[in-house]
Amino acid sequence: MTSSIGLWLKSALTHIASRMAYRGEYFISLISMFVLELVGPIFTYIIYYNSPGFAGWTFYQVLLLQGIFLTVKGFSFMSFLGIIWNSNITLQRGEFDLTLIKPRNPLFMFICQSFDAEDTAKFVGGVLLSLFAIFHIPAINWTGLLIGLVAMMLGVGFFFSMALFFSSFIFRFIRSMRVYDVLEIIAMIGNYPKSIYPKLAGTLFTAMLPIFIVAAIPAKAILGEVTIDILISGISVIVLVALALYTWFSTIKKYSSAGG
Amino acid sequence: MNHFEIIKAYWKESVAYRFEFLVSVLIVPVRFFILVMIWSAVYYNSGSDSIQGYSLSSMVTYFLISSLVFTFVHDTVAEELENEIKKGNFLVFLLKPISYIKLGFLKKIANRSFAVVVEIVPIVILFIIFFRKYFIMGELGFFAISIIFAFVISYLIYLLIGMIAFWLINIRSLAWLISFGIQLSAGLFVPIDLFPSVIRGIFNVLPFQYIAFVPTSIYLGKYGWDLSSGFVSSVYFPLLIQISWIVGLFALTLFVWNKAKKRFSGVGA
Repeated sequence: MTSSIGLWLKSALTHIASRMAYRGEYFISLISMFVLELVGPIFTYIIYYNSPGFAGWTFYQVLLLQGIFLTVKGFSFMSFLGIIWNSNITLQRGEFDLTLIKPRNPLFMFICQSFDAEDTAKFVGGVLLSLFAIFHIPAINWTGLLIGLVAMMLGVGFFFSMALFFSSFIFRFIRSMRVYDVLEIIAMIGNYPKSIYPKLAGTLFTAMLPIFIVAAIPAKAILGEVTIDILISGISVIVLVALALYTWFSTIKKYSSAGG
Repeated sequence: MNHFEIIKAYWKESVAYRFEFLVSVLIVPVRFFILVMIWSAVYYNSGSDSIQGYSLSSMVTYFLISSLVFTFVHDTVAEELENEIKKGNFLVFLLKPISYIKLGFLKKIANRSFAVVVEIVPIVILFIIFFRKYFIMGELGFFAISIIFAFVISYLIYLLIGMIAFWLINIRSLAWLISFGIQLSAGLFVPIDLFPSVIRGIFNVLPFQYIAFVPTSIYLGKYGWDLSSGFVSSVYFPLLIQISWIVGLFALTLFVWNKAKKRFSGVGA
């Protein structure tokens, strides 16, 4: 376990060091990555500037929700969601063999190779946005904060399962970058409170495709409202991760290394 | 090879990416569903039928039309030019009997006319099927003229962005950042008349609102057809401003292009 964490850290630092070779471009890239994520907060600001906003939510509470979403999304993009991009590249070049011959779990190696140095900006930006919002919210529930952190970890699990499903999809069926559009839709749904959606959609995104575990549930917990949703979404995430792992490993068994 | 043959060749190139277009057609209804949910919640909580002159229907129609306009004028010339410069392949274009500026424009015509068939038309049909009650049929005549002008303005702006690569070589991240600013001030994320007046004042001196916000406002009938309430409030005024921006940006493009070509060494990076 310790050596695995060490290897992952080493891999992350190597990626950052290689990007630092062109540090000017890297710096602009970091700024771009963060700024591009500000669509949600800007949109929310405009809504609250022109109207009372969402029922039961103040501007800073929604900002907290969006900050949490960006933190979880940023961590996931930085750490492992790069396997989607990497699946496209390695499939095209027939280079996945290099990952398979390494003396470690192929998924772990694939994740190490896919560290995305640019997305550190999303993660850091998400943390800063969350802290900015927290400082403007008078009553933070500290027990809720701990529960919220657990829910955020489950949110990372949700993104992990998506990464594996999309990677398997690319390996098995077709090379396409449009799966990122699906992630964008997930982000669009997860950036707003559950209460704005119809009941059916609310149940769907809590129990079946638990997008709300990424930010809506943790934000509610931090604001002092812990509901059964966390348990339902938590179980759903565990099932999804198990299914995703099974799908990914059965998919790579069929990998032909033909390229294309 | 005449211009139509060039467009036909690029059209065939676009067909190779039909799956990519189709995915976006499937995703768009979901995106609109979310937008409708968000704005419905906002209007419901506000207890009002109108926010800054927009009813819920006109707000949802605004997002449909502005995103369709942006899909129509969407441009990849900046990243393509950057690639050619980075790889040193731009040299090939200097040898061709047709200028890169003209070739890029013909490519855009081919690519976007393909997008109209496989992306824009299906999206409109899906929108009318699923969100008919929010759809407002607007003014089409002046809107059509306006989006043609928007098409040219967008091309010239993205070409100018691409030309930065003659100086900086690697401009991908910078182009993303500028593109975000363009989309924001073009009113793609939110109608720009909802922004605070200071920000609106900044957007008003930039050409970007003429890419999406102004054509969409023309569609929604925010400008009068006749001159009874003055020329500035009529639809002719924004069209005249669009023409002015085309002339200005074209002159700037030619000026920068002549300077930029002299910097190209053909070595690549």
